[in-house]
Amino acid sequence: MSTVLQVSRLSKSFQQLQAVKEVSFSVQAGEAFGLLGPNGAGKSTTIGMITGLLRPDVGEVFVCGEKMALDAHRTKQYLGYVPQEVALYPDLTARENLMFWGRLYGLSGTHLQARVAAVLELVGLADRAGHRVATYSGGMKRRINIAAALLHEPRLLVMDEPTVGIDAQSRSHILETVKELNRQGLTIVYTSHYMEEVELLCDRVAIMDQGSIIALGTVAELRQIVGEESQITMQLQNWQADLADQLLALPTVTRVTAQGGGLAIASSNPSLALGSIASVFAEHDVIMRSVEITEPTLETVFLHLTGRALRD
Amino acid sequence: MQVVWIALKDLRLAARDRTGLLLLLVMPLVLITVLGFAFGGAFASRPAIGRFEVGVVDQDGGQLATAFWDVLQDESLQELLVPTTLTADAANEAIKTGKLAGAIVIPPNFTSDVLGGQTANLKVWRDPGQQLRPMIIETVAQSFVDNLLATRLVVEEALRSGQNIEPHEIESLGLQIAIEMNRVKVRLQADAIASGKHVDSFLYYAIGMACMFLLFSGSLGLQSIASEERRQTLARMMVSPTAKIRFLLGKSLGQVNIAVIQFVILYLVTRLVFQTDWGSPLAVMLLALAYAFAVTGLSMLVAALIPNRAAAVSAWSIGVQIMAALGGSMVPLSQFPSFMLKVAHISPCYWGLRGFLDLATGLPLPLVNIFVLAATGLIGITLGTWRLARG
Repeated sequence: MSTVLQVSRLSKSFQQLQAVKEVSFSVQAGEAFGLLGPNGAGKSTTIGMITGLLRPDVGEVFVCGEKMALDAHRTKQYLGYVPQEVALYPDLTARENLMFWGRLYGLSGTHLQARVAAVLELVGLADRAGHRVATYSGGMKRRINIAAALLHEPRLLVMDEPTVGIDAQSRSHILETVKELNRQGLTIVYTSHYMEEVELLCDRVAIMDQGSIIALGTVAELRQIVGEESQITMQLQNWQADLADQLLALPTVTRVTAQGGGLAIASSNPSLALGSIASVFAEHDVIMRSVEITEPTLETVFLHLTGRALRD
Repeated sequence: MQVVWIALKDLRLAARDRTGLLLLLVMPLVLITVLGFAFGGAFASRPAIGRFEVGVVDQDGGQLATAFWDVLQDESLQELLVPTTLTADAANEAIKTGKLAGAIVIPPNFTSDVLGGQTANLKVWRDPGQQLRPMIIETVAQSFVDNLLATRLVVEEALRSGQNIEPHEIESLGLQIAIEMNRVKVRLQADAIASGKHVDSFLYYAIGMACMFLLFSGSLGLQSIASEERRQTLARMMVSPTAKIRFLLGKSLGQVNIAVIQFVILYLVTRLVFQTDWGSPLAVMLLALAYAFAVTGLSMLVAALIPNRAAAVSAWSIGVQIMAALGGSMVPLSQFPSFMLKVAHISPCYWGLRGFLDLATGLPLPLVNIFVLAATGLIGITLGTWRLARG
């Protein structure tokens, strides 16, 4: 299996802020690779350097064995990019937008028309191709945003939070489309702060926080970091901060984190732990509004590694 | 080809931008109509003129030329005229560039022709774009000619009545020399530097508003760059195999196209609706192209020098008002005092407007104006794209 993307020791600072610190990873052909992390973790800066939009202070990026840079025009032919914003012209129709972007990649004539028709079919918007993008829903715009990145049949598709701000149905359609593209052999780098998306789509995941990769592996490998721990999430009323220390003293509780209006409690045996927790609450007149027990996820992994929730 | 695709895309977007169309086409047409009617009656008879220079091209150097110079410096004219001796070329150029309202040309051998009884033409060159000042110059020259003729009649009558007047006495009277010879044929020949076609208020403001609102196309160009950055379409282009310099050249080409099309529409509508005669269509289009090029160059320079796009658009909008006012789009250049006419040279609007006025009055293609505008565009686009591409 050949390496499509090689990222070596990337670092980038903006004035005093070090946005990315020594980030390295590689992505193999046909792989779906996820970059997971909260807002401000350095995902978009990393993507900026991978796509050649940002010049790294230190480190290098190779796409299909060729070094990426702002003026590396041949290397850019290998790459399709779906930006975080809907990078389209709202006053042009979907077809006009796609024809324009295709031409920038050197496509022309019947080949261009065939590619436009193919990507419109892929994202399910062939019947709306003649309508201005301004008249589309948020989800439809996102789908055309993806279609524009596929026109020149790239070998690597880089997607920067492609489902931000859209409804569940459109999101599901996009995730299915991405999964199908990956099944067809397209290599994908997918960034998101939605761990469910990354879990669903990606073979391997790098978890980023404060500019660094804090964990990297398959989803199964990452889950093993937290072992068999489940997470008990509780919404509480009438509680004090020192409650966390008392819960942590319980033998079945391994970690307690304040989260929203309640607590997130890690436990290897949640059924047993719940009884002890309820007793502590009763002693302190704490009222339990809701309880949710979740099996280990990437969210749990992130919480375990950083002490913070992904969407804090 | 990427440059062309980007330019064509911008053209298509501009055609669908209703607010932009309102600004670039509807507004100038409304203003041309309002100003054309408002100044229709008063355009040629505005009273405030002030003291102004009049060129004197003395190719004669004779006694009558000296006498005429004395007339021009007479106390009665001091509050009105500032006579200045110039060569023919300098006077012609000064009139073309709006520095002089007119010049009086005393041709070679004027004195000797008058003395010898030949036809002698005293010429007045005038700026056809101005109304009152050239008229005053013509009146002064006419008055001089009339005096010559009147004196001739007096001397003729004196000779006829048998009075004894010696030739040297007549010579001492200066102007009466010619009359003594009894064959003087002096007449005034007033030539507009151009064909003498009149620029009415509709034509003036059609030119003025076209020059002003073409400047506004630069504002749309700046907004277009800002929009590409905000929407991340620029980022998407930079991830594609499109060099930033091609993006910028594409934007420049698109803006030049938009400005030229805007001009063509204004030109055609004013021709059809107000019957304005702009002069030779080919020359007008060439000048319009140079003007659009200059506007584009300046807006690219502003984009490069002011990285904050909102601030750049605001600065440009303010700059448009100043450049248009200085260039004569709002108040006719003929109303400018001479120092303001000098200051006006910094505005591309001035070079465009003067060039169009020249063409409207039948002058040949104003090559100096085209050169100044094209050079402004070239320098602006080169420096602007270079700096933006590095940013």
